Amino acid sequence: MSQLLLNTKKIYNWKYSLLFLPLLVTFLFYLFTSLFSASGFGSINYPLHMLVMINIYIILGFSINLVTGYTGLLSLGHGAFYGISAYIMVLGLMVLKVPFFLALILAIVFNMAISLLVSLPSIRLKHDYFILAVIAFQMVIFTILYNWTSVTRGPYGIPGIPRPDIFGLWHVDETWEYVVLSYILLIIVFVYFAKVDSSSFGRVIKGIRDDELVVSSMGRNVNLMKAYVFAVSAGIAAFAGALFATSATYIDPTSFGLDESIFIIMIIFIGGSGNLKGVFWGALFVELLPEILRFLQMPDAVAANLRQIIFGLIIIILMRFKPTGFAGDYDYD
Amino acid sequence: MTKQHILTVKKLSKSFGKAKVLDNIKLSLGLGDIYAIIGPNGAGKTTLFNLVTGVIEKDQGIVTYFKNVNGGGVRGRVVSGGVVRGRGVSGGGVNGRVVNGRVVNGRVVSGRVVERVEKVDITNKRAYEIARLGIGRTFQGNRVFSNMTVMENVMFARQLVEIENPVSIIKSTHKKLLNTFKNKSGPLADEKEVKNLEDFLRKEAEYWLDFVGLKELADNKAEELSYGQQKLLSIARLLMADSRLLLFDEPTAGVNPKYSSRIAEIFKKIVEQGDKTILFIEHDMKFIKKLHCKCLYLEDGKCPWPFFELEVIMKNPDIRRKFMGM
Amino acid sequence: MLIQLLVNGLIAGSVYALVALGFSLIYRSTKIFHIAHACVYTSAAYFLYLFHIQFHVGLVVSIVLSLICTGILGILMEITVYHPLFKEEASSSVMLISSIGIMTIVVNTIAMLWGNETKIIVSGISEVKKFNNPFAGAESPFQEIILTVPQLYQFGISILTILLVLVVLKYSKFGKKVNAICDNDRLVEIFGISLTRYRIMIFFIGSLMAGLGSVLFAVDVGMDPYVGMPILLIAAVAVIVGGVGYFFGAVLGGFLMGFAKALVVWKMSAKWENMIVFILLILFLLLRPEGILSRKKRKA
Repeated sequence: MSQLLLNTKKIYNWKYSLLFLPLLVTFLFYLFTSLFSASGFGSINYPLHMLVMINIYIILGFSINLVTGYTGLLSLGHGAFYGISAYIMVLGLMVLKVPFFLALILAIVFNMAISLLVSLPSIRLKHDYFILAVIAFQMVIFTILYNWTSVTRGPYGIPGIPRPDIFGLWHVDETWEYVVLSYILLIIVFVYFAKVDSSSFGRVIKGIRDDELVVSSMGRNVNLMKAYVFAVSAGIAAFAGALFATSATYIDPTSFGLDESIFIIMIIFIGGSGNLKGVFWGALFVELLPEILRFLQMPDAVAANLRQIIFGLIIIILMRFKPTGFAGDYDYD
Repeated sequence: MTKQHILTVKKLSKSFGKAKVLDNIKLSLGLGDIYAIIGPNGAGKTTLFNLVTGVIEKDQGIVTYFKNVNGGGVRGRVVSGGVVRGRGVSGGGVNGRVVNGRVVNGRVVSGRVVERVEKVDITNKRAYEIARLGIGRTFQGNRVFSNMTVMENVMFARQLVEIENPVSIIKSTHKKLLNTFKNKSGPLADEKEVKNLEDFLRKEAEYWLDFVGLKELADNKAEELSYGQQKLLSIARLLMADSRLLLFDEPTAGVNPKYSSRIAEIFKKIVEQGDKTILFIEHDMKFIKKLHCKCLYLEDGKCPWPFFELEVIMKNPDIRRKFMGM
Repeated sequence: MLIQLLVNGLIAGSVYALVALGFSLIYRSTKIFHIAHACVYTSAAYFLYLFHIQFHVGLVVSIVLSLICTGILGILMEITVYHPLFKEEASSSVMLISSIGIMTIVVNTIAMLWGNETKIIVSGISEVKKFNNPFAGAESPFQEIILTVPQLYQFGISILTILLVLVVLKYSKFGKKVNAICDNDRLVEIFGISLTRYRIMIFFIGSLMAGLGSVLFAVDVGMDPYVGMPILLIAAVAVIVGGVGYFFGAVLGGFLMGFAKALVVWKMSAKWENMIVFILLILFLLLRPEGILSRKKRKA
């Protein structure tokens, strides 16, 4: 089945049904855990908050999917991009005092510019060198966020991030309003990503993943494409950072370290890379597993580590037997 | 009128560490011909391809490509009968014929030049730049995009540089690009029934798949094809890319004789019009004999016997001895 | 002051060189970007903690035991994860991702079993040795170069081990076979070399070296579950900066990293140490990606 239909006339597509998946799964989760729990139906706010986080991780999933799943460039630095955009949002909202979408644009542009710092020296070299440069970048950004206390307040974090004010008309307060906002941003990212998937540009980057030398011998500037992809991917991560900063209203550097980068790549390696639906399944899995562990009365301190161990095991088993991830298209060969 | 050149190579040398792989290579290819490069393994044949196509860097030498340009202005001296010799857009030397122009004091002041050939020094250009000029190549073994279908593989070959970036996703019409393609002379030059760019690419891909005989397999995944069929696919890709100089690295290696003769027929058809040149590396003498083409014998990085007929080269007892060992 | 810092840099550099050499050994011969080398490093320190602090075994015996365990851990990684993938001719991306999986499991297991806080192996202030500073002027306040005993061990043991390994790799029969594997691993099977066995030995030795470096630092400053990654970064950058085509390149790079870090501490503060690693990497990638000791190979 050809995935390369450039047919831009069609507005609705079966792919858009994927957007209902987080809603559905979260609702089912809420239903089942309430039915089987001693305390019965709890507040709806908690599952709604979960849904916001799921949407944030779907966005991050698309971000990493573009650069790693579609183009084949492994990035262990998206935690850093996520973090940078969150702090830039704070800069925009709290220091420059601009409205939400303006701060978001600032974060997107800043992320894309920063990505050039990493991609320009390393993208034309061996893949291993690129990976190393991105890891180094991740660790440097964490060091800066953690140590530049005069600007970022370091480990104390930044509390009191203002709630989003959308064009002066809508002040996002309640959790359900955050769900709506997260969906708006997710839809923007999703539509763009779906367009890339079925465009000539998408065709080229998938070709790069498959056989870079042949793509280059067919007149494409491979290094430029890779730099584009890395920049756009960083820009998409900014949507997630913006959402997280304003919904959690408190950020600190520990959310944006190497662990987070590894967590983000788990989304596509478990869920599936190289297509659209893998991201949804991956984000749902990585966000719901800890909730399930918590529901099973696992103590929080152990649960965090156990979750990572489970992910690591799944990754190793998948890479051995099903490198495409559960619902993916690309098997890293 | 002398045959038009398409590629010249002068004093090309390349060493890897202490090993001199190519030593002072000189050759000249004419438009519309088929040429073969033969010689023992390790003689530097693929390295020559890699150097010409910009995959690796030379140590010394000059590679010049004669680009065919339609339209555009030229500034130069009128030589005779409206033929102008001067400088073109890329800064290289240009020969051309002026149509509808005014010539003042030996300089072309305004005019449109048709059938212009421009010399481009491609020695230091990168692989993708060289490909865009019209030089295409295949690789040893079969490098096809295994995850795409045959049709998608061929469609890929058409460069759409203007829309292959993350920003033009948002623009939804590609009418201007479509018109550029329509104006070019190609198999679909007369096609009126084209709805959009995708459709155009698809139709052209079908034409070339038919040309090489893979039309029925258009929707199969490329990895499902047999070795010989994949070879045909790589030929179709070069044709779709509208390459003028086609370099084939061992086009019949490992295929059965049925495909071998088919490929020979295809090669002959490609150069029929006189607007394309083929240069291929080969070890299969029968294949070369079928094509009656000129051969370049490469040994230890040197070419002692440039472009003679195969029979002439084979008369040399040293070469015959080395070839028997193959 | 500068001399003191440079000496500190030299000593730290010797440990970095040791770990980098181990990483280079594995990387050059198996072509695997063995990120999990970071958790092999970390686990050595925790094995030491287990034996010495929890089981009350003597320090030296504990060190030996933990090094053996670390080596075995490295072998386990090869046997259970890398080798099956190698047999299936999996791509390097798959290897890398699996390596990340291994690291996640090991680091989180350590964190789960021993907690996130810093652990100490040897408590109390280290004994100090003073040396005359031959470079100090008559009025300079820095008449002495001060080194702790652990530092002396770090330097001595690292240098000895590095020399031993380099000599073995260059001159012994084993070393020659390892070099052959680095050049073309599939080919060596034709010559009767069991690739499987050699890979296991290589992982053992490489992991041992990482473990040794870890133990040398852990005894001095303690450890936490997350010390591995920054060290791996230093080691990997050292390999690239020094020149990925030669084992000695990793050693050279390691010392360079040690000096660079010392200079950063001198000019700025210790908080920015990671920066210099990144900056050095980017500089070399931009200006001389083949590293200091370059080696051009022919593309097939």
